[in-house]
Amino acid sequence: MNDEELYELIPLVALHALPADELDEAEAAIGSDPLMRAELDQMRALVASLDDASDVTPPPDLRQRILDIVAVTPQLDHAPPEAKRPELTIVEGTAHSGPLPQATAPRRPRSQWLGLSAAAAVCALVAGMVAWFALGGSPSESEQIAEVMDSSVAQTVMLDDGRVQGIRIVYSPTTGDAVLVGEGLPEPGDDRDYQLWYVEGTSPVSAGVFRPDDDGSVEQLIEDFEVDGNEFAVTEEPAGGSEAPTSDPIATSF
Amino acid sequence: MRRDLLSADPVRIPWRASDVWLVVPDLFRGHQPCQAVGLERIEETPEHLMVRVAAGDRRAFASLYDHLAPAVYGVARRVVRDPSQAEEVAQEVFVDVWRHASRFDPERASVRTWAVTIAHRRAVDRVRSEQSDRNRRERLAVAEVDESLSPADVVVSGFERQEASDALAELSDKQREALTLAYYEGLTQQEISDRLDVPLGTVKTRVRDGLDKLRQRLGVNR
Repeated sequence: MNDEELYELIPLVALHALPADELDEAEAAIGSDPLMRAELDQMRALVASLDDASDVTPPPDLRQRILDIVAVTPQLDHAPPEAKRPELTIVEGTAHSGPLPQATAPRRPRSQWLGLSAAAAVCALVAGMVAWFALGGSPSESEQIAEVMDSSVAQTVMLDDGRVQGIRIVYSPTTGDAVLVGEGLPEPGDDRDYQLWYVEGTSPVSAGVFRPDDDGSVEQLIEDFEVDGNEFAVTEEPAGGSEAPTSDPIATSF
Repeated sequence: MRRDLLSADPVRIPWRASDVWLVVPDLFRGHQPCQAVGLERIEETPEHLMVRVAAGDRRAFASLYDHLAPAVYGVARRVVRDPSQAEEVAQEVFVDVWRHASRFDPERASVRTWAVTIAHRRAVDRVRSEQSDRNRRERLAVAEVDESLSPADVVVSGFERQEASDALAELSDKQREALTLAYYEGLTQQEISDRLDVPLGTVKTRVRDGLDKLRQRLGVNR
């Protein structure tokens, strides 16, 4: 098939008006040519706009059925972990200064940050952090915790490697939230906090700080927890946490 | 009450600035403060949600479903007609969207266009695979007497925006007919050619001219 013939097929491909095998073949060929691909994308947008006002409300139970399937369905095409046992990048004495360390391996962007405008992202984070830090013990948070802890499909990540034992993360695929649970944790010191990190490849990203209560236990809600492809580590940091770990982990999941 | 926390005198805010900044990349420093936003949930577009879905965020997926389900189910209903089959198509589409979320390319399409395209392909495949020629003809015969779903009406009523209906009105009857047979009936160009008893090349020309005319009038919003 020459380029002209292929170009002629673009509207038919956009409308799926070819038999399946021809459709797949033409689509693959079009996809390898940037100009033709752009034309196909335009045609598809036009065709999709044919449906702009023909939305139909689906049956209400369809939503839960789909969410139930998705709760147990892995995603495809995720970059495989570069290392079986990731290492934290330790940055000495850089609490609250300097950028996050660069990942040495390609990694997915932290979605919440890139998907929103900068200001909106800051606001979303502020809102999330306020919810976490200021509203401790409010009914909604304890309800969220209870929902995770009571979930029949909850998964647990043990952070059982390191000098401090007894930290685990309980994650509910249904709500997307997690609870960091710890027992018998030593007091981190007056001007110190514990900080939880997502570790993907060699790049740690803060998941927030926490302190155990007087008897060494903690039950901390982590909203919108990202479990896929991540390992986890806890470090002891200056009060309020650091932008990058400044000490060796006291507990890790790896 | 939550809003009060943010608008109050900073002294009363029981969290430290550092608690916030520790998770904020330097990239965002220096941007406007956000007291005005308060704790209201920021409305997220499908594009925002899609980034989170691609990172495995199932809660974002649930919100994405709420945005897209009427469009996806709508396409499925128009093409496969049978409600329970349309549900199955919608289910396949959303599981597809979840599994292949990282393939979504915002440079190429809006999330809505992407999802509607997947839905239409799935619906068309289903119509073609599950219908023998004979009961497909029956289905089409039924469709023709079902005024609420007659192909021409569907497209016209589908364009509620004035500019869109104007653009569609400018299509010739033959162009509109070719487009609707392909899109809503899931016919291939060969089937359209047989059905209308016109050469293949004529079908191709009508479809292209029709889409070109729509493009000129509507412009293209991905």
